[in-house]
Amino acid sequence: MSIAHRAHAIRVLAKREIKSTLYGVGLYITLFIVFLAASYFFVNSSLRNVFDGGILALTNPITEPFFFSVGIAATYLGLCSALAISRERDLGTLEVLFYGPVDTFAYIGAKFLHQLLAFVVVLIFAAVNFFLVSQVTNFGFTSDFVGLLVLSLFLTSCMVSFGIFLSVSTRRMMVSVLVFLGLVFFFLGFSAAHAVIMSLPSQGMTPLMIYVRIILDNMKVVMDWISPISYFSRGMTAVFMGDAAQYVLSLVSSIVYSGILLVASAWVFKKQGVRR
Amino acid sequence: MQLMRSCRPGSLWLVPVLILALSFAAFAQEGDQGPSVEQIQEAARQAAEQARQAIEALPDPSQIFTQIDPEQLNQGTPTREYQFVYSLSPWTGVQFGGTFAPKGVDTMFLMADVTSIMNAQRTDVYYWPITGEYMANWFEKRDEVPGKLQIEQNGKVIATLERVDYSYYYPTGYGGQQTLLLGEEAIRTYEDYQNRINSYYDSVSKYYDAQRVWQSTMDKILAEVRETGVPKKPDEIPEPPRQPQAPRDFAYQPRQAFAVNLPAGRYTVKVIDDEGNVVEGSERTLQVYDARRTGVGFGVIPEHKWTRRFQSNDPSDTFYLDGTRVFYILPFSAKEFNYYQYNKMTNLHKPLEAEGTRSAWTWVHFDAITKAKLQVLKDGQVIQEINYEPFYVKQTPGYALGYEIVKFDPENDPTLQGRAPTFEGYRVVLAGDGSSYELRFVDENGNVLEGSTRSVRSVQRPGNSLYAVTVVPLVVGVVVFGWRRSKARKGSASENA
Repeated sequence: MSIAHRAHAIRVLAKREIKSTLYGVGLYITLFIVFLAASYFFVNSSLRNVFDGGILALTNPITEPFFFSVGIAATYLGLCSALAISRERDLGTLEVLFYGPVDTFAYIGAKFLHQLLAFVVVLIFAAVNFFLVSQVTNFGFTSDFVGLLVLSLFLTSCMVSFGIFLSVSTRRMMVSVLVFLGLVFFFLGFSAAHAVIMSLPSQGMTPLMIYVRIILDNMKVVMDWISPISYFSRGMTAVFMGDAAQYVLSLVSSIVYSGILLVASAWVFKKQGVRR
Repeated sequence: MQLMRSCRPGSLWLVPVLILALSFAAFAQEGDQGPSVEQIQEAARQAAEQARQAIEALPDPSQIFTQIDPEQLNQGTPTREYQFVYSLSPWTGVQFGGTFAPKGVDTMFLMADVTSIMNAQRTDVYYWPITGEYMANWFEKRDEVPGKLQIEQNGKVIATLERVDYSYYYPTGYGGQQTLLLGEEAIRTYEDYQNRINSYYDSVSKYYDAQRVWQSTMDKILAEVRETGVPKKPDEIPEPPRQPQAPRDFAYQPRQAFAVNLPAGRYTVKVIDDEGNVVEGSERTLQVYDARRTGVGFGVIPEHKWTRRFQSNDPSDTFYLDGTRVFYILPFSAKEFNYYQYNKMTNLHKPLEAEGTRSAWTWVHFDAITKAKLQVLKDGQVIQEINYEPFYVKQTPGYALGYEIVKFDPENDPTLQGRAPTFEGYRVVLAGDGSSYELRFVDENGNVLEGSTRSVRSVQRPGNSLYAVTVVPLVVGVVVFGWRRSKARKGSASENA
């Protein structure tokens, strides 16, 4: 199959799916709930802290709710990816589709592009929402935020490719969903546990806690390579430090991560075939 | 010497002071019985000698922090091992810390581009499980390993260091600012300090002598006044002698060690003996690290909660205000280091210290910034320049709780005379009218200090509009849904037609 034909197939498939996503109400309701939760749990809580303290030094309080929102959205889209392929295989749609001018790369590429386009829509809504939040609170909408918007696209790219990889690796829809959610919760849980233990004062820490900290810190070295969240958090640190080189490195490593997973997905997909 | 074994770092400065106080107390006790001039001079001479001995006995920080406490030895029977160790007094940015690298500690840490003290010694080492650290018996057994310190990087010898004289100097007294002096300067400063201490004791001796003479003159005058009933004129009463002031500064007796100052990098260090052989157990890795970021740390004291001060080290921090606020900024030059490397540097003798923190970072405050000006900017224009000033916290008199922070100006406020300022810093008053400001420090030449800029915003109370803005996607969804339905209806109507 030529590159032009493959590109055409990707475009047609992705267009069909993005239309279906945009015409449904699921995405809009999800975004509303996510933004509402972000405003209540994060923005409102930061506001209350400022009102209680009178003066506070904070990293832009819009960042956390934004990270929360795009994290949920990326997980949602990753989950959709994890569902998509195994469901189509389960239903037999995949087999029918492959009788047409579609090959493995076109199919995987279309799935990936669809989710990324869906995320661009999410980003537009997120940008509007957090811009309005910054206006009503005067928290500020800084240039850092633009950097985070771009970065989040790459986080989603990692999440979606991760979801696609799981989807092609498992033959059952339920298994791919459970594995995807299990791993995402594990990555999130790990990040939270690591952050909590690092925030504990070293003074008076029991040897047991020190050993737990050593284990988590060593595990982090591995997690930095496999967890999509780690790629995003490295980029976020680079944004706050104003370190352009690290920021670009973070974007490049996200692309490499996604690329490797997509190539691996195509390879596994080819090996497993399109039949149920 | 016995006193020094059990001493702790913070209490060391008390030694000369204690000796002085005891000497004078002893003198005062004898004074009632009328000591002779010779006795006074002898007491002062003894006090000077004791002070000198105490100063000379002050150990290096590496020994102070890791010396076996005699009490610990009575609490168990730890196995002591006579072994090669590197003792280190690394510069932490605030002071020279103390640790040692016993056998088994392969990597040592030092801060880049500053001089730290390192020595190769043999001593008795044992593990003390209660505190989970290695301790050394420096005072009973401490043998310097002769030789040179060879530093290699990537297999190439980049430096071979000889031991040099070094001393710590405290210009404002022990516990204050600490300076490392090397070579001739260390010896010269210590000799100067010793000379001043000696002349101080001489002055003390002369003072008490003069005091005796003055006292006897006063006794005569008083007796005369009692007899005649005629008071003396003020100019007939002699001025009492002035008590001499002890030197406030403090200098360690010079010792010899390796002064290491390297750029960031990974090195191998080893001690080469006089015959050119590597001393067994001396080959270790030396990790010299640098700061990830340099900036200005803001200590912030809100006027309405002056005891609840907080810090802002990260230049990406923004100050958020609720309404008009008055606050005081206490700036420090700051550097961000890897937490593990920074803490391990002074805790090599504690195997578990800082373990599991290799991915963490910490800001370390160095010197206070006092000479810079704080600029307040609005819309890119400097609207105010603030100087560093002393302040005093006055408690409100009476039963009601409260306080007032005033500028420390004892000349115009008699209630502040004889007092010291509570803190020194920059007083900032910013209006909470929804404006945005920028704070930054500039030096004498008007250059902005790196990492000293902070944004300030006064937040608004958004009420329900905070939640109202979240309905945007829902509205768009409803519109899309409605449009799709109407399109579908039109489609089915045209099909039916």
